[in-house]
Amino acid sequence: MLFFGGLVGVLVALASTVMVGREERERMQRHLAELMATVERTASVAAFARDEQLANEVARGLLLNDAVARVVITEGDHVLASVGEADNDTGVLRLPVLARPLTSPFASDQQVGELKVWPASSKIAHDAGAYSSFIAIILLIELVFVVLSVAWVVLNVFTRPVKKLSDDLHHLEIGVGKHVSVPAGHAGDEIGRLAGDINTLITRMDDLLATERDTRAQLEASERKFRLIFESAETGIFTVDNAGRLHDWNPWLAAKLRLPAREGSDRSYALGALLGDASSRLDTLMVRALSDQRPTSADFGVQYGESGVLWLHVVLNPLPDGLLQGIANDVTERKRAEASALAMAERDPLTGLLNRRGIEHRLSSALENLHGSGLALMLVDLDGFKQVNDTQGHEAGDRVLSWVARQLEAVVRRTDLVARLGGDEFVVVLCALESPDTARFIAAKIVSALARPIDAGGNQLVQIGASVGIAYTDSRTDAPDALMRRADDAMYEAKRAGKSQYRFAS
Amino acid sequence: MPLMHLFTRRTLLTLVLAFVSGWARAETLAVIVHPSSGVDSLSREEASHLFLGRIKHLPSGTPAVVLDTKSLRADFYRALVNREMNEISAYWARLKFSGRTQPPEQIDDAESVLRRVAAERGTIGYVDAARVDKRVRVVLLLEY
Repeated sequence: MLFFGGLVGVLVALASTVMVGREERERMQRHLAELMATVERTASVAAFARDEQLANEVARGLLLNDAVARVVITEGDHVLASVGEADNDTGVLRLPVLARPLTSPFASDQQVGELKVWPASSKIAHDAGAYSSFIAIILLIELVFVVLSVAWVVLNVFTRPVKKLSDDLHHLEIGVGKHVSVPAGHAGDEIGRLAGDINTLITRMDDLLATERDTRAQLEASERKFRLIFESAETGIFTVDNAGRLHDWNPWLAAKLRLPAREGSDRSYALGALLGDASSRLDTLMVRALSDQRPTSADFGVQYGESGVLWLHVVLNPLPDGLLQGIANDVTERKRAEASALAMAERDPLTGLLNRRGIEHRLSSALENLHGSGLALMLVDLDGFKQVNDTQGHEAGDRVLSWVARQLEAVVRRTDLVARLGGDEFVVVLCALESPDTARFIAAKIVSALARPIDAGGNQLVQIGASVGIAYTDSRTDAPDALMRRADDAMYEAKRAGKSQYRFAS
Repeated sequence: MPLMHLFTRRTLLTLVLAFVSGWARAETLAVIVHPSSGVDSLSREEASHLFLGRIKHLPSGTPAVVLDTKSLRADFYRALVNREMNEISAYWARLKFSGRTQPPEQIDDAESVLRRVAAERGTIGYVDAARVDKRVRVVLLLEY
């Protein structure tokens, strides 16, 4: 700053030197003109009277002045007076020779001579130089004063308070409610305002930090809560990628699928293998969830222990980036209840045998499973049961029916099927027969077994019989209905033939 | 100088003098010289140069002795160069300082002037036109 101040000062001094020189020159010119005007009258008189002595007096008088180097007074061609030596200075400040016509004192239109004055250029230059130096010194003093004043003001009014503010700010601890102090005497100016603004910012930052802390605490609490829900849920929660690899799972799923806890496990587990899914149902389910972008669900039975089955109802929900979020619920109990309900629905409550629905259901699968062997459908209709029912009562009838059921079960293999269609009508299905002869043999055993007397309760023995119609097939394409009709026809034939006998359907 | 010419000039001057002496004698001043000075007439400028010291010889070459008639001085200079006496005095004061150019000799009365002019060849003076006589020659008439 001082350097620039000095530079400006030098430039101003140079400019002022030139200007002062010029001004001095003009001033000198005016001065000389005045001088000449002063002596003009006397010079005119001298010229008019051709008085060399007077002319010389005038010329010497003029020469006494520092600014005058040479004076010449002429009358026509005659030189009346010539004094002094002209300067040989050729500098810029040189003034032209000043000439003034001298007129007759008695006739102003008549020129009688000329007054010529050579200015003293060196004197002008000297004066101008001295004046310039004086101005330069004044300027220098002023400059030094101004620069020092500005430096003082900048240091005390600006730099120091700003430095203090900066130091305060630098050592400020954020978040403990501290503020910077307003520099003394600057409460009302920009520096005070700056300090105020900084404090406002600090306050706002403190508030923000407090809010941030609260938010983080809430977030942590919320995360803990969700973590707890995730970990203690009585349901399986997991994520799986589109290749079927498990990514995350909760402890419940880990326990059910015999997985290690999620943390600390770097092995990858294929969900399909864990679920014992051999038929790629899981893949289908995942493809559907990902392509439809909607939840899909299916049940999977997982082999559990030696004989048990764990049923899991799995819901897959597509997430972004090809991930799927899954929920697995243990539905083993429900499955068991369903199965037993289904079993109940296919049993005859009185005898414990299959009912009509049960046998129809199983007959179809038995037919489908024929592999080069034969199958015999026997329709067993009791003879004389109506009479027992009417004379001995329903209880006796029921007892008879139960006894028949036991007899039928006793003559067939475990793999064969026995059912009560309703009333006194029974069905026996013999599976995996080598030949129809086996059926004939079994039918004979049934007829003879049911011909024996029966304890109907109350020490009463009753006797009934059975007519058996047999339909044999080794073709899988035979319809159950058709088989049943053929057996029915054969049974009626046996009845017509005199009861307690069997007949083969043609 | 041809005689005829001289005669004509003198006759003319006499006629003029006769004419002005009747009704305008107090209003005309005559610049006079010695009859044998060799000067017949002067222009107003020549007269002013002589009386104000610029010329120190008569046109004929004779050194001039200039006389002022005290009682007529103011009228004379007013008529000659249209200046008041204080200005004329200031002029002479400047020249007197050098001592080289002398102002006219101051003569108290017109008769003394006439006598001096009639007596000395280089003398030049002025008097009331009415007082001019044969002793002197009029070279310039000034009305005021």
